[in-house]
Amino acid sequence: METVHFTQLTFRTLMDCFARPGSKGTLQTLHSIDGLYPQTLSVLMTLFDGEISFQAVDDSKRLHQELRQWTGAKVKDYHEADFIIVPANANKEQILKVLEVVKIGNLIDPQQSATIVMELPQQSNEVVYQLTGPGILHKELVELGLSPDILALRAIRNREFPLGVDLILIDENGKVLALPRTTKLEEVKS
Amino acid sequence: MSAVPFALLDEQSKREIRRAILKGIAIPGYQVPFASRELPIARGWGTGGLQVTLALIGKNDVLKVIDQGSDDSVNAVNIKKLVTKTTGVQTTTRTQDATLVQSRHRIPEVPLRADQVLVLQVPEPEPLRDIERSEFKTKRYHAEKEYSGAYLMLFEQIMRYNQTSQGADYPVLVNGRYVMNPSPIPRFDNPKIHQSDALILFGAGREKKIYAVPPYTNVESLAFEDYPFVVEQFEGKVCRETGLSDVFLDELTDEVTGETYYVCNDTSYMQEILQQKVAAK
Repeated sequence: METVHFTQLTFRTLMDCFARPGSKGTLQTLHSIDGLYPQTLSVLMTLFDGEISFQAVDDSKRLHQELRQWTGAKVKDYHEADFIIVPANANKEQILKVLEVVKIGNLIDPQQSATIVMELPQQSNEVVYQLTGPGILHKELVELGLSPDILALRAIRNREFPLGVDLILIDENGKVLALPRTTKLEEVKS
Repeated sequence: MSAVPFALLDEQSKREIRRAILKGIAIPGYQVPFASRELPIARGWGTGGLQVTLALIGKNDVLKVIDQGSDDSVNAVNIKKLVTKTTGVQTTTRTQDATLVQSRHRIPEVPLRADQVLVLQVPEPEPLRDIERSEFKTKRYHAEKEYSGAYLMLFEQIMRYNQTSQGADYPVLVNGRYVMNPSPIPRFDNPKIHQSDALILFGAGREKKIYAVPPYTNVESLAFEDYPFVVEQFEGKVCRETGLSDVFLDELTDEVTGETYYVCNDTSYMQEILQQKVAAK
């Protein structure tokens, strides 16, 4: 598939996921690089260019270099980057440390906040969450393999709407789900 | 000269618009700034809506474009031509058959579905512009949720006419946070934005803003306790062609007899009803 049509399809999938938090979209793949799901690269190719900055939660500099070559995007520190990439192999402590400092915009320009593109590792202990907020008719139930600590910190950082971070979650099967800052999550005890 | 890219805009322009759309959905009713490219039509003629449409559209989309309820007016026809020439997508006049609807000043009478997207062209995105000319200041009013100016405008209308006289672009409060111009749709269409099944995107090309109302979002028209929000009333008036009375009507004058008559404003809906009537005979 030509890149223009590929990024168009990827964008529409992402837009549907943002408009309907909790709904899962299927991402296509075009290229792949080491250390990321190929579907994650599809998202980055659709959103990244020289106008934006990113930082990956990754100790090696190789991923940064390759993504710069692929997209032309700049690398900036966690507290300044427009996009944060969380590869599947990142551990919880690393993610929490990053989530603590990423930018959440200000009241005059709330759009100057970070978007977090997070890969979900293969998980056994999935928790069921109830989602509410704009884009959701009544409520939506979603199983998520995401640590409650991360979601608790997300809630803290999104406390003062319109400030906050938007999450794009991608699982190992290439399913994508978005949690814009407006979405409230509540654990459903079974 | 290189060939014109699919959907006219280059990839970088599309990416910027797409990022603005995602932010807009994440912050319902907030006007996200964007660069707004030059297009082969003049600013103020739907370039904001057009850029959103071009950033969204794919080979399998079916496009409907309306201008003041009509599929056949100059603005709608030209935008449709530009998009089809650069994409080759199919167009339709039937709201039900479209995947993407770009509109100037109306929301179709046929309710939109969850698998459709509505793009509205916006001349003036700032609901506070009439009371404050400075963008620097209005951005701060939004930051502080300082909307007394918007209420003051409505209050002055009530003082003068004993009712709000704002016919189109009647301001709404989105998700309990941002006051937003819904684009110059009649008040009649405001309730359709509230808890809509379809995603609604707004593009203001000249003012360089993109904003959004996600589906199932609370959208409330501004009002006072003693002066509740009311839509246009067409009591006792019916469409001359279809006999419909629960739609937005245009008032026209018969040039020969001087008689006043009304017709359905949404022409494709009117046509559909007329075809049904013919089929029933």
